[in-house]
Amino acid sequence: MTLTERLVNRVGSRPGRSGPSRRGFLGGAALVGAALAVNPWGYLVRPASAYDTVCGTQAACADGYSAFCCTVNGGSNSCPPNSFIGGWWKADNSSFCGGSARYYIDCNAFRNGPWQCHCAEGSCDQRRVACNQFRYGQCSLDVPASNTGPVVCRMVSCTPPWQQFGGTCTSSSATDNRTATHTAPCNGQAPLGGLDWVAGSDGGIRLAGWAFDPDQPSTDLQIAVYLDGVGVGWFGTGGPRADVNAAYGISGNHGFELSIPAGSGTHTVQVYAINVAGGTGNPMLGSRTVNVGAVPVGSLDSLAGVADSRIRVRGWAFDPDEPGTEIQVAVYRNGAGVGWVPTGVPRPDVNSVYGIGGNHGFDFTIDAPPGDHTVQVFAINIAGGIGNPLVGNGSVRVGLAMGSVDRAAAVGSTVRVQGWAFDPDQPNTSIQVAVYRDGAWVGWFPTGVPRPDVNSVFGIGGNHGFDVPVDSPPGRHSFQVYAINIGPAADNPLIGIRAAVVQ
Amino acid sequence: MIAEPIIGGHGFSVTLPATWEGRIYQRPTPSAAFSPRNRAAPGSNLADAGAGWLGEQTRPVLHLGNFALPADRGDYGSGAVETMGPQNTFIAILEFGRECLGTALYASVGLPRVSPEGFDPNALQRRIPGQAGCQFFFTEQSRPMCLYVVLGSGIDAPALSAQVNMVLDRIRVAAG
Repeated sequence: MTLTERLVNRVGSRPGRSGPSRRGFLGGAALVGAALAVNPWGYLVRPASAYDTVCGTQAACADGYSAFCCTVNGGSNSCPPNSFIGGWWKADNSSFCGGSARYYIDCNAFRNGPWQCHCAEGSCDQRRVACNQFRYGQCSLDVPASNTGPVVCRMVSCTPPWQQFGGTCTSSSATDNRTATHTAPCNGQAPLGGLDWVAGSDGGIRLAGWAFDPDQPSTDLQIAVYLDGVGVGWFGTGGPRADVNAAYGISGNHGFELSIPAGSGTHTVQVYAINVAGGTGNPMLGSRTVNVGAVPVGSLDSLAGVADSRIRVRGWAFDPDEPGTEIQVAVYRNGAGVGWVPTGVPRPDVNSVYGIGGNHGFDFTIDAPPGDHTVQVFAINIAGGIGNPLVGNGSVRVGLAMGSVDRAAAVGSTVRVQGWAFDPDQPNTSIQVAVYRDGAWVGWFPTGVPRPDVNSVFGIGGNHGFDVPVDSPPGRHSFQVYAINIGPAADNPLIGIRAAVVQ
Repeated sequence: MIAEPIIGGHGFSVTLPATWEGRIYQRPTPSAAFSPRNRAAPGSNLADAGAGWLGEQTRPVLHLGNFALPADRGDYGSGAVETMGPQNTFIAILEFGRECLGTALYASVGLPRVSPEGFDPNALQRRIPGQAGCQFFFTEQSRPMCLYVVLGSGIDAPALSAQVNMVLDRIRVAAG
């Protein structure tokens, strides 16, 4: 043992010299936030201080471990001069590598080389340098034990050494999980990136962003996606992002856009970039809350003015997130809320089309004063998805007689004015129509002609057609027809104007 | 007279002296690349999901000690050596792949024996005050290996190294 080694060992054994300096400790207090950001799993599950998370546990010279190469090699995670790769081990389930194995690669000095045993002088990595005469034995097999000096430092990587140092290291592994929490702040840079957007979709979540590792800026990364705190998977970048490349002066494809399945409801999505080289962890690119699911669907099938000055509203609506459950619809008349009405009317046609169960029809009436109205119906969401969609709107006339002048045709000197009319207040009762020729009153005439087509459309009974003969002099004439109201007081609406020419 | 126990496996066998115990094991070879998707999959083995990458080769490891070997040990004895007292000794033999055969590092042939002067407080995977270690790379029965020995007290190396050699004499290595 050299004198230097004796001094180092004595320093390392001194009581109370088990942690970083006070100055370093105070500096470390500011690193709590950084620790949480770069090492979310490790920090939250391991009983270590934030300082430890940044620099790793057992970082003092007295702890007996070898320093990291970046600490002693100008920040470079590589073997310093006069050293060689002597071997490697792994620590499984490392938070520094996204839960995968983390690899430690020793750089051994050559025997009788210039390296002298000492304690590193990193901000917190004060482990031993060129002290531990030990070799793992899988790398640089051409260097015999007789030419092997102590471990100068150790590199660290999330990439297996037989891949990273192919031809130098073999794949025969050694495991030491007690070093899983060792690291140093200088171990490269953490990936950069951003979570551009997250959006709920039908049955899942879509998200997009970008990430790259400054240590290997042209390499595609993996991102880890968590849904409500549970790992969903790793996904590769690989999408072109010319904007990112231009901004950072790099090449490669660093964008990602993907979908993950998610049930209906509100979810939290977190995305981490997985470090491919040095750096102190896998930074979170972003966290978002997103609502997933489909909004209700439906239809407003018909609006009709019905007896007693009411509007009959018919249709169907259901929420695909819970297709067997009856939902409610919100009704607005002329822009003002009327109320919420439950579905519950059997609609086997809807169930057949969508392959669902339940009773999703609605058929109800609302009050309305005589006149023209607009009606809007919204389906009320009961699960995922955002908003209560409009399922239909329409216009309807209430409390006023209605009808149509279908034709006015001259036969000789007689013009036959034909059409239909009824009053929704008493839809089965025949009413009268008032006929005007060229603005002059001709007379009132009863309806009473069967019009099964009208009855079918409006769902009413009675005979509501009219066929009025009007003797007229030669020339062109205009015929105006008004339906005569029979319900509550209201106007007698004009239901049509037709022209006819008498020869 | 109680017969001394013999442990064997993976081409090793050892007749254990009284007060010694041993373990022979080989870690499982990773069968799938790690990913959180694997870890989150129903029925996945969480302990295996983060252990190594495809292509990794695990090899037999022999651990011997005259103290209680804890269940959770690193391949070079971490977790065990921290529990050693001054009169305890730990022996690890790790096998490596056949690609090491004929290389300079593994050129020495035959399971070596230790000498007191070969132990050094700095010849440890992790320096622990009071302890001393030594390490040899060699090939036995066409099997490349590393012998790593830790003494609980470097001061007692003469007596402890004799115990080590007594145990090494009891190790049999089958042909690779």
